[in-house]
Amino acid sequence: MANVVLSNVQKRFADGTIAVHDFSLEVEDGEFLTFLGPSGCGKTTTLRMVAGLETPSAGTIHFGNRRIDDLEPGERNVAMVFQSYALYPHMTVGENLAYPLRKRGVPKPERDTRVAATAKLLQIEPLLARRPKQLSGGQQQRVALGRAIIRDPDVFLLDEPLSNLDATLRAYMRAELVQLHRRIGKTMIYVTHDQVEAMTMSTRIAVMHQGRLQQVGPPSEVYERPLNRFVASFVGTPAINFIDGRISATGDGLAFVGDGLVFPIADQVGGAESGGGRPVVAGIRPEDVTIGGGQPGQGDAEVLVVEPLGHETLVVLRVGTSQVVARAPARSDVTPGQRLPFSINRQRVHLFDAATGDRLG
Amino acid sequence: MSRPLRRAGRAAGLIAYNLGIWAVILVLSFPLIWMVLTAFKPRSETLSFPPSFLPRRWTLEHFERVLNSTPFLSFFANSLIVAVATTCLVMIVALFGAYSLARFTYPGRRLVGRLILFTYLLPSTVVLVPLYLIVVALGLANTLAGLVLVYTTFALPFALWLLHAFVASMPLDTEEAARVDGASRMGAFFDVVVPQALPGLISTALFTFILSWNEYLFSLVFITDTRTKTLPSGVTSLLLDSMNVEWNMLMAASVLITLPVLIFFAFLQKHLTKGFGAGSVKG
Repeated sequence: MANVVLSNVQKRFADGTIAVHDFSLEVEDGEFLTFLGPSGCGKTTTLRMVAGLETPSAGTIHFGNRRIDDLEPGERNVAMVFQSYALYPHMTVGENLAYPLRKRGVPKPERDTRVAATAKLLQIEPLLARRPKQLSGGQQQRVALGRAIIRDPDVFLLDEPLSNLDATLRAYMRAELVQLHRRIGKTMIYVTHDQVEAMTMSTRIAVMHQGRLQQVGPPSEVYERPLNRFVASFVGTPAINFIDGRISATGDGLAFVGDGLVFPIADQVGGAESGGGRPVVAGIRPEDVTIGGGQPGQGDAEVLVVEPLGHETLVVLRVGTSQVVARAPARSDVTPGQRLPFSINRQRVHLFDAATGDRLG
Repeated sequence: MSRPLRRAGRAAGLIAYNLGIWAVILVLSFPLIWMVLTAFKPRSETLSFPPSFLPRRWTLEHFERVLNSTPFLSFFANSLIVAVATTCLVMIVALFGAYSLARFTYPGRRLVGRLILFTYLLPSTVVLVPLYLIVVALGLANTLAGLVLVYTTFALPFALWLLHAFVASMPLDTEEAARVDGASRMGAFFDVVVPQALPGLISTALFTFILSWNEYLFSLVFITDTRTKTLPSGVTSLLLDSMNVEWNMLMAASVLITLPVLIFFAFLQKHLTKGFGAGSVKG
């Protein structure tokens, strides 16, 4: 019942800055939706509007059929995990967990039972008598999660909850959060600038940039079919390679003619309506560049840098005047300065309009 | 340098440092020590030459006379009423005021903040006459309520400034978390802001209490009735006139006046340093 519907939501601050522009999105019941974007893209502001900590300047927010944008945060039945965890420093872990129940008038015996059950679920039972500052970052994170799940909210809001953890713990907590979502099956809205978190945890990702929604879709779709150049550049590690060029008409149809790279593109842009001579940008994922392959249409490139990562090797090539990163197997016998043949998987090349950045085809 | 020599050098430095500190403490506290010792000396010994440091004969007669044959206890009660009432009033107004200055945005907020600090910079003698006229106009001359009002105007700017720094340095997140957890704005204020501001509240309360407890000038000018005099003005007017100074009784009374403040300090010192450090910690 708790699908979240944002309709034409806008947020303009007192100084005139527009943090969120005409934002419309429906988050399905039970979905794990991630707002992904760089700092200042409006993702946290949008989340805070759902929480009730910011008031939209225009537009409406509904939970199911209930309009909630004019309600106090406490009346919305949402739970929020803050980036800083925001544990109450003067309360013990047990009191922190019990606080939302106390505010809702849950009687003490029931509060105690639920605190015990939540502590057990998150394996923080031995910490109940401690104060937040006596806990490690990971433990504080669990308490913050516990305080969110204890009162069975309609919607969970998570504002970069893993960003203060070290890499190992972050990977562990990612898996924990996914399991937790599966277990409780509630709607979760998650904010992050970390595309790995977004890709690994979400049912759908909403990519934001400069206060505008860029694309919404399952992680695979956002990765495989980015709707514009920004989405293509923001999602994927190592980042996608961009090569400037033009669409040219050849005897066999249309072709991408770029700096040091030419290949036919009829499949991508769907025919002649894209027009000859149009300036475009080709986006090529590093895994779609193969070194040493003998496919026609590409050519030789100089190896600039070799970055062995253990499980794979990243090779930076000079193609024309551009640098192109290629993914190679772990023990590739490649050295800087070498000239090697390379090929690209042209079925998987993304073409974007050079002026608007929008996807072609 | 060998290790034992280096260690000896470090120890000597530490001893010199401590000796220096103790010398400063001794110089600063000498008047206090002299006050306490004089209070316990017989009258004959007070002005004897050469002076004795420790009393040759210890006596409590001055304390007894101060308590039994002067209105000291009435002054004490008046001072306590004025100090407690001022502290309560200042704390309530300053806490809400500081929260408003730190958390809400409204036109003129910064100006109000600066004006408050400016009023604190005004010497009290400048406002003596205008305040007296206001107090008389309000019909509060010669009353404890009048003093409470006047002391509040002095203590409030500093209290507001101190608490403002304290509230502003507190993370907003916990307050927002409390609101999402079901508390109203006021509920979050009492559940989360007040407990976290406790060290600041204690130091502000202590500052206000001491200011009201020790204030002399306004109490002297505004109160002429012996029944409503407070300790500083009451005791001095009683024991100190142009002809005769009752040194031993004055010192005994001073010891009794200092005692409550000293006890307060001893218990709350830890919070005081924490409170005054607020705002400067966050960089």
